[in-house]
Amino acid sequence: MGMTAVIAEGLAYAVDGDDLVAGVDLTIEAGTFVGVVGPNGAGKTTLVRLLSGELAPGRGRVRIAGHDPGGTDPMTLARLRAVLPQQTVLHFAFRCLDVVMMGRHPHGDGDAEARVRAAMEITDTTRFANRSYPTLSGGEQTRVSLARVLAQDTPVLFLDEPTGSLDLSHQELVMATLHGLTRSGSIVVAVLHDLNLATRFADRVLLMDRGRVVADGAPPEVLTVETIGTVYRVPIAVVPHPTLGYPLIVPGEEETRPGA
Amino acid sequence: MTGRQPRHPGGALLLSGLAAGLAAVIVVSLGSGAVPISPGSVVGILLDHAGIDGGPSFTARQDAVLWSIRLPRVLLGVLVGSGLGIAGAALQGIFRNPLADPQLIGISSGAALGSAVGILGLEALIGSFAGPLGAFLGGIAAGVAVYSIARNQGRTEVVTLVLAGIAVAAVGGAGAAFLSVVADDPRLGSALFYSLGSLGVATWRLVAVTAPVVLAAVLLLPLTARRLDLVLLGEREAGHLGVDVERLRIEVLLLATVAVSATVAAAGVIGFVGLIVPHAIRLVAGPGHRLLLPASAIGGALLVVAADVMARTVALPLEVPVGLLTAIVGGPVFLWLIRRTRREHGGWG
Repeated sequence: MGMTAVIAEGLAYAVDGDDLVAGVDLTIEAGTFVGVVGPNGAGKTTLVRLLSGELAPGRGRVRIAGHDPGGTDPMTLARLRAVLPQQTVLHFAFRCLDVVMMGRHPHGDGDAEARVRAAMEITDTTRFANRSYPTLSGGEQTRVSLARVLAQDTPVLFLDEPTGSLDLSHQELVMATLHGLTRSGSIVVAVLHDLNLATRFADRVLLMDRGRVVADGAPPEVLTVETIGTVYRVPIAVVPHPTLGYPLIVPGEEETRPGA
Repeated sequence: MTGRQPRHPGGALLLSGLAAGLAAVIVVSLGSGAVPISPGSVVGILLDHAGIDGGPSFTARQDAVLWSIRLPRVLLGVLVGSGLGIAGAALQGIFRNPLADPQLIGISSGAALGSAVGILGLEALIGSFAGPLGAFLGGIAAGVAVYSIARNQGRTEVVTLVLAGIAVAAVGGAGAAFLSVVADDPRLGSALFYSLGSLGVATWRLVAVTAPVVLAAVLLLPLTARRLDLVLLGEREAGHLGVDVERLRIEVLLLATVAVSATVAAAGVIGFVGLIVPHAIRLVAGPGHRLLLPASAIGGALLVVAADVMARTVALPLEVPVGLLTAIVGGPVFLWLIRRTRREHGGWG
């Protein structure tokens, strides 16, 4: 096992007696792209907040590259893992370049410019450099925030719906970028709603339901007609992509089609 | 901390422009009043006290007026303005809220009440630091009360913060005015002093008591600048980027309250400085705190010294409270600010 592993043991978190996350055991090895999927309220965001150290677990423990996030100084932790929240709302008119440069804060280094420029190029945000962040659209803001996360240059990345508000081409761009990072040894843990993106890009999928990981493994093992039908409570079909051949998850069945 | 210069290209220009403006207003202020002193004579008197002969000429009367009355007054104005300006900028940053003015959120009035209580209750025991100490404790109590009311599930609610601030400010201001009327004690300021402020009480001694406190805040608050920038992204985001937000909140609240309390103990409650100065600077220089904090300190000094010149001269031989002038300017600016914010991103909800 490499040093940069993310480990959870008996992880649980409850609010007012309700288990938001319960009984999660995980070992995520370096170089793994993990997709966290599941219906609304399944505990995906809470799991990511626990793993990243933002929330202290009610029970159990987390280790990021051997560090207990709760007992690690915030700057050290910020050099180990970066976090992309669902949305960053900014009421003050920072330029996008300034926002991305904030990602370098944990490093406090002088060679930030090159890394910042690279992060903005990868996320296709270079042309927003001098634009004021609040004036961008939601998807553009997400990409600038992702550039900030990439500029942080950490071996572990936690991303809550990185593709949620992105158009089709930028979804592909972002997922391919994240996938590329894992090929050079990074760990990416991303909450995803699009099961097809999870199938194509993730090495491993955690399917969550009511606070528990109900299936964990390679996408074809986890995202089956049976598990998805049970957890999401919608009928689906899995068909091969007409030209590329990889499996596509398609919801609906003939008799539920509106107007059929 | 990378030690890079502020990236805003006009940063050095802005700071030196503000400093030049402040120097000019100081010379005007030193020369204005019942005994007029020309700018040349002002420079001559200052050079003479610095031990340099041969500057422009002046009379002994001008020397006495400038050195023992106007100079402490102007210096107190610089201290009060810079303390209020930088405290306003820092509070708006840590609360992520453009309305977090020291007066609007109750700190100033809490400090006024604390100062009055401190003078009445403690001055016999601990001497002239009783006022500033009481002001600090009152300001902290008000700030913590307002903040804890506005804080809900890890978020600071803008409307609640302002509403709680109004309530606390009303109690603090009324309490200070009440004590001033009832105690009828010459050591206390007038009710007007506690609500509108004045630099008329300035003495060298008061400058000496106020200066170290305000200067400490003005020098230390800029050390929080980069972390305050990250907090504007969001408290969660700042935490992800390595900021201990809870600790930063304590640092900023303590330093800002120290600065505000010292100004209130010295010159009463002068409103709007901590609100309009940082906003004006942001319009020119953007929201980054590395430039905003020092520029707000200089800009606050500029505003208060300028307002004080007008307070002393618009109604000669009468003097109007300096807070009247900052409010007459600040109120309309504030209204414009509200409209502008609503136009740009839907207001503060």
